[in-house]
Order: sequence, then C-alpha cells, then structure tokens
Amino acid sequence: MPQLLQVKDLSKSFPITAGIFKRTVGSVKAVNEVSFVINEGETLGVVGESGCGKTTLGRTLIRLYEPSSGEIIFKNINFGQLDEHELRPYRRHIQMIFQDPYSSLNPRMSIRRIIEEPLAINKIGSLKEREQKAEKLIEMVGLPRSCLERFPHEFSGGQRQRIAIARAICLDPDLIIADEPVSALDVSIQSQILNLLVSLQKMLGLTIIFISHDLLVVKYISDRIAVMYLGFIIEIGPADQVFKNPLHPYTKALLKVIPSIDRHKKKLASNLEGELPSPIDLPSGCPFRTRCPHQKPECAQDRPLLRDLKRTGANGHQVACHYAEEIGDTHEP
Amino acid sequence: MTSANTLLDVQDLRVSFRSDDGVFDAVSGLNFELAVGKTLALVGESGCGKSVTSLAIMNLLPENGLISDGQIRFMGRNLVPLSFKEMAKIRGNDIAMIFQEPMTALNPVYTIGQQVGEVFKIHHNLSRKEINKHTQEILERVKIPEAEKRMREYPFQLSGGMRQRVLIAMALACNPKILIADEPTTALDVTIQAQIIALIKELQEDMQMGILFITHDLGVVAEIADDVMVMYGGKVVEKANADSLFTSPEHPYTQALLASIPKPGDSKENPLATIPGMVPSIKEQFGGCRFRNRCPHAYVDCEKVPQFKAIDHEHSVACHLRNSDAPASAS
Repeated sequence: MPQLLQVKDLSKSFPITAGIFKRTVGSVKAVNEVSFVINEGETLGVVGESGCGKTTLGRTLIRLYEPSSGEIIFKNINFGQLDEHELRPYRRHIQMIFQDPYSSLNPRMSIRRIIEEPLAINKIGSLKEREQKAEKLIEMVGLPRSCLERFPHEFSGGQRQRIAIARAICLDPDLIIADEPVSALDVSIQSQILNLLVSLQKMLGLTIIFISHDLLVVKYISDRIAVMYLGFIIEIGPADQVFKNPLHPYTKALLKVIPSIDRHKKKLASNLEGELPSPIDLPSGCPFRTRCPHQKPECAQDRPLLRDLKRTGANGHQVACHYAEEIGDTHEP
Repeated sequence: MTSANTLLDVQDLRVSFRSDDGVFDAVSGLNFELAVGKTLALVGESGCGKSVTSLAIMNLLPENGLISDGQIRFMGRNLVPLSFKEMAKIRGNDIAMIFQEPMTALNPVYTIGQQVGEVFKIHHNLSRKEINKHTQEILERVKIPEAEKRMREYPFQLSGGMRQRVLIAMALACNPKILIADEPTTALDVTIQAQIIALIKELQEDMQMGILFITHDLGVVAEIADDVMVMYGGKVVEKANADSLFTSPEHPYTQALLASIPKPGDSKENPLATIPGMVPSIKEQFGGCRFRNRCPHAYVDCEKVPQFKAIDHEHSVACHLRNSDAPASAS
C-alpha cells in the first residue's frame, strides 16, 4: 500500500508565560519527537492515558496547532511547513471527528447547513449538487433524509456523531482523524458507530487515525497501534502483536488493567504505582522510568528510541525500551 | 427474605419527576437488598434510572423529583418519611456516597484538610487538634502519599485519582455501613481506575461496608460485584449473582449489551453486535416490556408487562421469553 502520511520527529510544546510581560517561564512538552508512517486505507490506533499527548498529536497533524518542530509529509507534500494560504487547498483532504457530539455541531444550523457548509466554503458544486450530496451523505451514515431539515438538539449523542461523520466525509478526504469518537456514547450506541466507521472506510477507502483511551475499542478498529506515554510513542506495531506480545513495560501494565467481562480471568492487578510525571519537567532518560517496575540506573541516562527487537524481527513492531529483551514475555494474556 | 445481615432493603420503589409535560416515572417497581460486606452493582446505559435510584436512597432528589411509592428500609427503619434534618444524620454517618466527577465534588476554595476535617466536625464535634489527627489518619488510610502535606493543599493541586481518594476518605470518615459509589472510576484512566477499585475492595474487606456500585461499565462490574442488577428504562430487567450473569445472561438486553463490547479477539472483518435504535426517554410511556421495540425476539406477549421470574435462587429476569409457553426460536 502506498504511503499517505509520514511524520518525522514531530514535537509540539506550549509555552507557559508569567508576569505582566508574559515572559516564557517554561513549556508543556505535549508531543515529543514522534515519528510514524501511515499507509493508504490503514487504521492507526493511538492509545494512552489522559495527558499523554494523543489529542495534541491529532490536532497538530491537522495543523490546528502549529508544530514546534519536525515534519509532516502528507502525499509527498511538506504539509507541516505550508503557510496559511498554501495550506487551504490541502486542508480538505484531512478531516476530523471530535469526541463530544454536543459541542461539535453548531446548534443554530440545520443539519443540511452543517453538512453542506464544507462544500460551500470550498466552492464545490452548484446549490443543487450540494443538496443532492447532503442527501446522499445523510443516508450513508444511516439517517433518514428528513433529518436534514432538523436541528442538532433534536438528536441523540449517537445520531449527532453520525452527523459529524457525514460532515467529515463530505469533501471526500483521504485521512480522517477521529479523536475519541465513541467515548461519550453508551456501549450499545458505541458499537453502531464503530461498525459505521469500518463500513465507510471500506466503501470510501479512508485512512483513519483513531485516537482513544479505550484499548479494546482501539484493538477492534486498528490495523496498527501506537502507544503513547508523556508525549512519546513508546511502542508501535500491528494491533494483534501489540495485544498478544506487548514489549514495553507500560503497554504490559496497561493491558493488565483493562477490566474484563470474563469472570474466570485473573482479576486485574494494578502493578503501576504512582501517576504521570509533569509534562513541564520531563524525567531524564526514559519517560516511563519513574513508574517502571524494571527500572535500572541506566534508564535515567539515555532516552530509548523506537527499535526492532531480534526476537520479533522486522515486522514493524517496535519498542522504545533499553531492556525489552531482558523483560521478555512477562505478560500472560 | 430479610436477614440480620441486610443493611438496605428497598421495596417497590417508584421515583417520579414533574415536568411541563406531566409526571413521569424515572424508576418503578424496584426491589433489592444489600447485605453486610457485599457489593451490589447497578448497571445500565444513560437514562436507565441508576443514578436516580442512588439519589432517592440518599434523599437528595432534585426539587421536581419525589419518591411516589415504596419503602427504603435501612436496618429496619424506613427512610422515606424522614425529614431532611433527620436524614442528614444518617447521610454521611451511616450511608455515604462518592461521585463520578472528583473535581466538582470538592470545593475549590478550601484545602483538602478543611474539607475532610469538616466531616469530623459535623458528625463528632471534636477539637481542632483531634480533627487534624483523624484527618491525617483517614488520608493515610486511602493511601495518599505525604498526607500531612496534602492536607494543606487545594483540590486543583491534586490529580483526578488523588481527588477520588480524598472523596473516598471523606465518605469513609464516619465508618458508614453503606457506601454508594456512583460511577466512581468513570472519569479516571484505566491504570488509576485499577488502583481505586483495589482500594475500595481493600477498605470493604476491613470495614465490611455494603457497597451499591453504580456504573455503565460491565468490565468494572465483573471486577467488583457480588451481585448485579441490570436496569433498562427505569426498571430492573435482570438480577443475578455476578458469576451467573456473566456466564449465562438471560435477558435479551443483557445479552446484547455484553455482545456489543469489543473483545480482544474480535476483528473488524466481523461487525460488532449492536442494539438497534436507542434508549427510550422516560417521557415515552408505552406499556409492556420497555425493551420490546429494540428486542430481536419481541413477540405479541411483550405488549404485556413482564413479571420478574426466578430462574434459580440467585438469578431472576423480567422477560416473557423465559415463560414456558414462549416461542421456541428465541433463546
């Protein structure tokens, strides 16, 4: 599959200012030297706990936030460096779906206007064509045509998320960045939306970056998974591999604490002490070392980079840990 | 069936809400018992009436809500007719509650020590020195590191997990017999959630509280519950011992709910099970089984209200399909 997006050493930090002159006194390092590639038609899941930088990553990729450093190569164009004017024709190729369907739709606009607006802004089609497109889109996301004349408040969370999806696919984008699109929904509705995303992906050949804190949801929808911790990608690989054979101690710990509906399974054991360090003052060396059960003095020296392990070969499963070989298969699924 | 071990015995509880369009039942025909040292999970989707149930027990219903029928017996005493003042003595002392959002449940302008200490002040009338001593003890008990220092800090200085620990400390300060936990881990990350669940279990072991655990997350239920009640549209549809519920769910709603959660082995080649449509609003008053318009097995009998039937001594379900004369195709 051809490559659609390549991210090289992408970082994003937010300055912290103080005093009347707004002097910069530090910075929140939200995304740190993140690199990955995503191929056409693929779904990359990004998981991590709150504050790990997954949302900032999504918003930086779409240039809602300006990258602090690094490159975003989208379809062989240096997307990260385009200025506002040059950016405009490319914006439509990347669309976003947000978590909260209650605040992402303008309450004063009819559903028809919400869905047609991207077409109008990009001056695509005649009035008539836009109308037809909106009708086609609303049916594609599983809502009746009559919905178009109604307003967001008349819809439930699941239906609103369908409308948000219709708006996102309206410009025939190549890449969809979905930031926790099902987290605000009840489980019975969550599965409807996941099925819809999968079927639209097949139908339209979409590439999806699926950001979520819910490991089971990410596992279900993703071809590959990137695990983030304190703004770093600490493990990336094929979804099955990451789940069956996690290499990083953090991934192992995360998988252990997913509550399971299987009562026969060993009950969850929280083996992670403490909490996330501050992203203002990152630990030296390995970002995870302050909570890692296997930490050694050397972990404070160099920051481990993503690398292949001999044992797994070059199957795209990479981990950022100095001692991944030694820690071995301590995860029992 | 009420035994000496029963802390809470809820009988035929009905909670109604007044609105501009009339009066609606948010919860009706609710029966359950909570025993010493046991955890009963109340599970369901938004709007099923699970939080309303907890607020009714605490007598904290909003102004337009009232308990229109039934009894809530705490150790034999009916709480429903009690005045707000009488109830205030029970609340916090005997029945305590923790909430979902640990940020909004704490007052941002008082220190942690002041807020936890207030519990001792109100319920025990102790001196300042004793209050501080007790506060520090209880904070250490919920495993807040450097409790003495944390006491002087404000809620914004604490992480979500630490704030939830503070709330648990406040709830447990008076050794309550019952703890009502309303989605206590929903706002937390999974690693922190695991810590909080472990803490609640450990404290229950020590103090033998009965816990009413309200959640929408069946995974969390499987981790913590002894017994489970599944609610849908203001009614309990299935009640069972947790092992029995997860191995052989009987109600079509419970079955569908369990099936719609992605499992580690699922692949996107196979669509997830879904429940068509959505949860009915409490204002949609239709007779019979509340689930019938979404149920794949619905048949003519479902227009009548299903009775609660015991399958065995620890599993009962409200579904016509479990009657002997139901169509054979459905199970």
